[in-house]
Amino acid sequence: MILRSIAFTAALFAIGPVTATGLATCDSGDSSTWQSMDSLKEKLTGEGWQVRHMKEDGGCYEVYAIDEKGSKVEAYFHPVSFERVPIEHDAH
Amino acid sequence: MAMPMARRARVKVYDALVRLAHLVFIVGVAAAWFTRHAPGGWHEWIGYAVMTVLAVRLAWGVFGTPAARFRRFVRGPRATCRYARALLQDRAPRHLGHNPLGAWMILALLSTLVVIVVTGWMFTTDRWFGYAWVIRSHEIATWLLFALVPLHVGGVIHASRKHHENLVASMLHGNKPAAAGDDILP
Repeated sequence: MILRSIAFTAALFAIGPVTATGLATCDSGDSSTWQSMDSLKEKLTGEGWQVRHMKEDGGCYEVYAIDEKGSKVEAYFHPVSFERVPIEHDAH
Repeated sequence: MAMPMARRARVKVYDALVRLAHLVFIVGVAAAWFTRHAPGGWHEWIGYAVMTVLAVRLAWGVFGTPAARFRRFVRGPRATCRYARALLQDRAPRHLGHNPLGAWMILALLSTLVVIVVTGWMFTTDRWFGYAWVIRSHEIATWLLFALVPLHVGGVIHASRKHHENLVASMLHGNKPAAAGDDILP
């Protein structure tokens, strides 16, 4: 009884929603055509953002920052155009 | 020889707060895991609930009933090693409360949970939002918790088998067969 319920729980976790962390994807082609992450950071900083963390996600640049209004934002940008990519939901 | 488990009187060992907190940790961690990418703030609210219960449980570990109190069941490294050796030689005594290895597991689980809820909460604040190390700590502590849980459950099953009692059920209704013979009271 104990063993069976544990096996069941473990299986539940294993088949749990395999959601990608990515909230957006970008059709951005080969990464050699991308602008650098640093220049995006420079651009956003110039617009009054306080960039806390950046990483590549789903072919986009994912940015955690405090924006010019002082709000917490998790934003996605196209790595070639630096255009902001809409995401499914706002971060928290 | 001690009296068989089935014939022993049953005594209340784990109070309602201990049992409820334990249940909240199981359900809360599972729910937080499944809502980790869900929209609508579920993950955060579950986290606040677990954080609140965790704070209460830690305080109860100082002021609570004997079986809930850390000082009553956490033993030093030497006594714990002695217990571990006895366990390997299949002569570990039955503890009516948590045994010394179980006690360290509880401390490990609770402190990992503290790291998870604190880093999770930090991420909701303007001061700590967005930093990679906060996310990393939250993730690493979560995986650590998921590594500890099977060990915890394994220990519970082992002790249940060795001492002919159902410890999983005891954590639900709070009762255990009374101490007898060389059993150790909390």
